[in-house]
This record gives sequence, C-alpha cells and structure tokens, in this order.
Amino acid sequence: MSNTASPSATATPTPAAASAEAAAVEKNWTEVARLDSLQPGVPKIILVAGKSIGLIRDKNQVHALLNYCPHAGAPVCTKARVSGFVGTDSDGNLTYNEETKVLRCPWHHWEFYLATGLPVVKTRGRLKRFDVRVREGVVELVM
Amino acid sequence: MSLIDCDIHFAPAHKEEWLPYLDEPYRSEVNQFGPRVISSGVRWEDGGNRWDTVLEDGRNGALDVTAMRDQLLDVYGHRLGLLTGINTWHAGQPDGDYAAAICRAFNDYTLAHWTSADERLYTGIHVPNLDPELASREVERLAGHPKIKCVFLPATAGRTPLGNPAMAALFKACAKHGLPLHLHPSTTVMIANGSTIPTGMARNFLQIHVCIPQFYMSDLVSLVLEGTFEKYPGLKVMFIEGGICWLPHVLWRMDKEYKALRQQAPRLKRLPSEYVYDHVRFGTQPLEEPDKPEHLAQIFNMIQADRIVVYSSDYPHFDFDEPSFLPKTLGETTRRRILHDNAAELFGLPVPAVSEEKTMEPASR
Repeated sequence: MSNTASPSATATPTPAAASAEAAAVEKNWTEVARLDSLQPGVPKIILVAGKSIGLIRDKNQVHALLNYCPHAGAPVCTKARVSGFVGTDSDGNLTYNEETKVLRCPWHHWEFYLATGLPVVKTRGRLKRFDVRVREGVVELVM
Repeated sequence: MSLIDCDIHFAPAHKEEWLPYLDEPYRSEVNQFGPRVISSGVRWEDGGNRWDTVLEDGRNGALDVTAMRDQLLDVYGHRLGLLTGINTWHAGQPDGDYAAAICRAFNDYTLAHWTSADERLYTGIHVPNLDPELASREVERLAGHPKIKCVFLPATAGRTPLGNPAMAALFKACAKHGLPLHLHPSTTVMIANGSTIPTGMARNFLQIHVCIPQFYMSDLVSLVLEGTFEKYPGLKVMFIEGGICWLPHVLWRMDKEYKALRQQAPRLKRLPSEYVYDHVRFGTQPLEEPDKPEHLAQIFNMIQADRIVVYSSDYPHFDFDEPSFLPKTLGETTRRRILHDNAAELFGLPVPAVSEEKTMEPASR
C-alpha cells in the first residue's frame, strides 16, 4: 500500500472545471512577471498585495505558490529545489518521472507536488496555490 | 525569552583559515594532500544544510559569522550559542596523533575566529575520540578558557560502549573541570566503526538518522549501569540530536531490569533513572512529530523534561528546529527551563530566580 498521496492528474475538464474557468474570466488578473524572466525550476519570489509568492516555471507553464510551508512556517519557495519524481514501477524498479514535478522545502526538505500543492508523504496541510495564466509572454495571477 | 542553543554548526570557509593552527608534520601533509577523510556512499545534499542558508555568492551561511547572526542569533534571541563545528575531518581517524593534532588546530581556530567574533558564541573542546589519554590532555590544555563550555565527543564514540572503563581518563578530566561531555552523532565515526546502525551498515542517511537513538540507548545504558556516575560524581553528559521520545522506554526498562539483575551492576547505589535525572541532559532536536501533538506533551511530562531537556537547533542543517517547535501546551516554566535554564545550569551561567515551582506542569489540552 502506498503511503504517498497521488499527484493530480490533469484531465479532461469536468463541467465543474469548465464552470470555474468561466468564472475565472471575471477574476482580477494581476501582471506579475514576464515568462522569459523565470528560469525553469528556479523559484522567483514576488510580493503581491503584501503576500510573498513563489513563481515556478515548468516549461511554459507557471505555478504560483504562497511562500509559506504548512509544516513549520518556512518560506517554502525561497531557494527551494524543484525536480522530477523519484519512485518505482510496478516491478519495484527505480523510476524518475520528469513530468511530475515536486518542490522541496529549503528548511526540512519535505516534498510537495508542484501541480497541486499536496504533500508527497501524507501529512496535514498543503501549499496554497494561486491561479496563474501566461498570455503573450506575460505571467498573470489572481490573488 | 533568553535562549541557549546547544548545537550550532559552522565550518571554515577554506582550509587556509585553520591550517596555520595545525602542527607539523600534519600542516605540510594537509597543505599538500588535504585532510584525511573517512567517507562512504552517504548522500549529502549541500552538506545536509538548509538551502536558504546558502548566500548569494554560493557559500553556506555556516561559514560566515555575519550570516549566522542574520539567520540565527539575531532571529531567535540567543543568549548563548554553542558552536559544535564539524567532526568530519578528525572524528574516527584511527591515527590518534593525527586526530589529536587536527582537534588542537580546530579548537584554536574556533576560539580565535568564531567565539571572539560574537559575545554570544561559545564552544567546546574537540578531542580524539579513539584515544582517551590524548583526549584528556586536550581537555587539560583548554579547560578554564572563558569561551569553553563542554567537551565534544562524536557519537557513537568508539568500538566499545561509552561506559567502558577505557574512557576513564576522559571522564576524569571532564569531571575535574566541570565540563559536560557533549555527544553528537557522527556519521563519519559510525562509518569508521563499520556500523552506521547497530546492526551494520545502513543503506543510506535516512536509515542512519532514524536509528541514532539506538546508539544513544546503548551508550546511556552503558554509562549508567557501569556506575560511571558513582565513579565520577561531577560528570555530566549531553545527548544531542537524538530526540527524546525513546527515553520513557529505556528509563523504565533500566529500572525494572535493575531490580532483578542488580548484582550485575553492583556499583550503583540508586535506581538507574535517578542517575540520568541528575547527570544527563538531552537535546530537543530533531523533535519527534506525532500526529497528535498532545502525545508529545505527554512524553515531555513522563521524562520530567523540565529537568533534563535542553534546546538545540542544529543550524544550519536540514532538520533544524526553531524554539517554537516545542509543544504549545507546555507551561511557561517548563518552556523556560528547556530553552534556557537547564543549559544555563549545565554551563555554569546565572539562572534568573523565579518563584514558580520547578515541577512539570501537566499537559493541558
């Protein structure tokens, strides 16, 4: 039995997701960075509306996370490490999944899935994520 | 609240800082070939450090006293920070003369470059752990220095249990000068002993780190049941970086088995646990994190943490604990004793008089 939480599998949009997307059109998007200013896998810390937020680029997608670790309150994005997922296949062979990115807190090195903010090893709490979009090379988010 | 931190790591930024303190012929040797290193397949990520302590120029904060102030001393209100250094170079070296020379150099370097740089910083005496006689000479050389507060021994110290009478010279020197013996895990020493966990060589650091209390159980049992504290009534011992939750088990089991097998520990005059309460102190870090925080508070209560637990941060390592990691339900008196008073008494510092009772408050929910 696995003791790890599953990464979010992005999937076909559900009706609820479609509805959320429609609602997002009405959100107040704030321009926060240019995509080409973000180095893949290297968090950039920004301050928006008094909140410290980590922007993490994965290819041409950007994740925005509150810079606060639910474990011990560390600034979880500041000098965090981002990598693929180390695991095993069904035969027990070691695997490295480059597509499933995890962020490791700089203090205690706990792992969180970048796509969902959920901890890799079950524990209380998760990283708070913000909605992000990239339009014409500009990164925007909703607080 | 004033804070005493019993485990702060640091290292020279480069060998030229400490090399002038090393005696010949070893200075020439290290200059030409580098320090003798005992290593293995243990995976270290940036030295096992917190990644946020890496400075803009790529150096780690523990190489720089200014960074240490910014990242630690000025953040948490340290009254005293005990610099435990590193023991990678000398710990476990089978050549006692070499190990003694490296220890002397590192001790002198620490006093000249670090403890003199900030009034809050103190340190202890590194000693060659496989040669108690040479170790005791180094204690004699530096005991009495105002910035020296203890004697460091990498754990597990050698190839015999810690209470072995072969350690007599070191115990005697520590007791004579009132310097606690400060045990800190050393993966290097474990590798040198061919046993990174009690049953052999572990696969990786995760397994080593989890099993440190097993070494500490063995060493604590050996120290107590050998009658070490009857032989050296002035001796105090600190177990650092082993956590605390293993203590109820070992204290209860020692007391129970002693009642039946006392004839095998004839030097003892009291229950084994009583020697622990009087002579041994345990660092908080890495503090266990049960799902229900009240369980941790209950263990603090079981072991009389207000008497025997001291705070240690382990800065800048990845398993660093802030002072706020203590259970929220601990009473103010207990919290103060763990964060300050217990270590102050151990290091001979004044403890502010308070009228509150010293016994452990029951954990409230």
